[in-house]
Amino acid sequence: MNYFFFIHIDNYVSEITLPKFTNSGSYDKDMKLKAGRIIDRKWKFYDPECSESKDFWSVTATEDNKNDIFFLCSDQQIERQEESESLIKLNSFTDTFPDFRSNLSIKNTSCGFSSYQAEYPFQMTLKKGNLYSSISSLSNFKAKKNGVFVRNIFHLPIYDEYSAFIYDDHQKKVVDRFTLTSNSTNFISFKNYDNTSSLYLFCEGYIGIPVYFSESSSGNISLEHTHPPHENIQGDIRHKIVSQLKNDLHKKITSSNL
Amino acid sequence: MTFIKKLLRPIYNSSLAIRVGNFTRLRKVIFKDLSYNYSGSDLFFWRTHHGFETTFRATDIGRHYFNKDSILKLIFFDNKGFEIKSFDFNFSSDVIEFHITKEIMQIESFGSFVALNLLNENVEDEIKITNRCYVGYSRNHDEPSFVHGNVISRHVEQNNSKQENVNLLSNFWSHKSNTTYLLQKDFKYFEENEFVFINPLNRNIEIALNGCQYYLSPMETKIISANGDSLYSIESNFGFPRPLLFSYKNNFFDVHHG
Repeated sequence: MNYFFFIHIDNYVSEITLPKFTNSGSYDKDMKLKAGRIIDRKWKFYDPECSESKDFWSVTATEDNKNDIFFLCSDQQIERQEESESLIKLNSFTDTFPDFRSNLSIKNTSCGFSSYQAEYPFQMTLKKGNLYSSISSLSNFKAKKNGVFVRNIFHLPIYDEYSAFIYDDHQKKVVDRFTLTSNSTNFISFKNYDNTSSLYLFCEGYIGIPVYFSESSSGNISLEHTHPPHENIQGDIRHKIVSQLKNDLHKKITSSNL
Repeated sequence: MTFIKKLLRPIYNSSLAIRVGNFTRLRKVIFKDLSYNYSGSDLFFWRTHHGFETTFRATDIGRHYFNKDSILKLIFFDNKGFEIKSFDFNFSSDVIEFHITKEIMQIESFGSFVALNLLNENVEDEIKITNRCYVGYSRNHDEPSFVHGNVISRHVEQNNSKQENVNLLSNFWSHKSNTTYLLQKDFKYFEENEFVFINPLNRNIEIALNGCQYYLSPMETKIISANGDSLYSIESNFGFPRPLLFSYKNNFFDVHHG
């Protein structure tokens, strides 16, 4: 099962389009688009306002729904979800290979646009941990706007603050620190940094998906996520190696003076 | 557990076990694990025609994950799959950026390339690198729109990496698997769409896009332009026929995986 989410910034239009079919071509007529929002430390679920065609649902971000989660389930399944205090796995309709693709798009006033696959696996909502991502791999430091969206979805209905660090591995120091919020889409701007090839993003306490964003002066937009670090290697001990990598960076950050 | 997995790997990796698993759907094998040390790469798409330039970024996986020195070898193929150029780089920083222009390639065309992290020493430990990398596309010298690697395709045995002409192998996908893949995107919003297919195998493959049949010889790259339909389905005798998609509207474009 997957959740889907918005990114939102300034005056850009953000929209998610969800297919009613899997990539093998199967439809489930019982699947409906549902949304969840945290109100008074409780998950509240509702039928989102959307445009609907034979094959797709589309929802546009507003000030109210910008941090909400969206998912597919049947009427019976949403009743089960409403009885639970935390997010629960309701079905496996979107568990596919290749990954189920929604289309999270962002558009600017110049009509520039870009999109990203934007699925957040249910298993990730159960985990706490640290996020590690190479900023230098996807940033456009010459762009007019340049930054990263960090999206976390946690199964418990809490808005918890956690820390994000920008670490320069060449200078061996933390160059910036931010406070992010769980169950939200956060944005970190890179406008204050020089282009170096050794900048890393490290988030402490919550995992999430880093989606890199840039916009050129002509309006061209880039939107893409970095691979989870364990995808760069294979083998039986790859998760152990990645865990060590994260621990090492955590130690460097802890010992750095910011 | 790891020991048992290693012991059983030759059995569950045998072509008979894969065929039985795929036929019965008890254990569908798309990506095949390999027992030896290797450096693997996606087949990345480059283009220098129609005003495009391609930007490539690769991380120093050897240093970062294994504390080993390595070089980055880029091998370029034309759209028929013939090798046309190669470049070796020492990792002077965490991330290498390489601009693929018509001047560098001496041709306005398109094709594919591999990026191999080749260790400078033979190793006893398990080191399997699948550097997924990021590729950006830009027109008229604008800032690039990035997309991550699509399909791990070719590899070299890591300890043979010193040889001048590396022997690229395609064992990840060597087995036959018929696939129907319905792209989860609403194409009706775009003026034009390009579907980019690259054949990573040593055999010819067939691809039918909404019923139109195409044949790709080994390592061949094909761009198929299409518009007018809302949905596109792909049928293929290759197990992972996921294309790279370029969608155009109002002088802007979006690039992502299908």
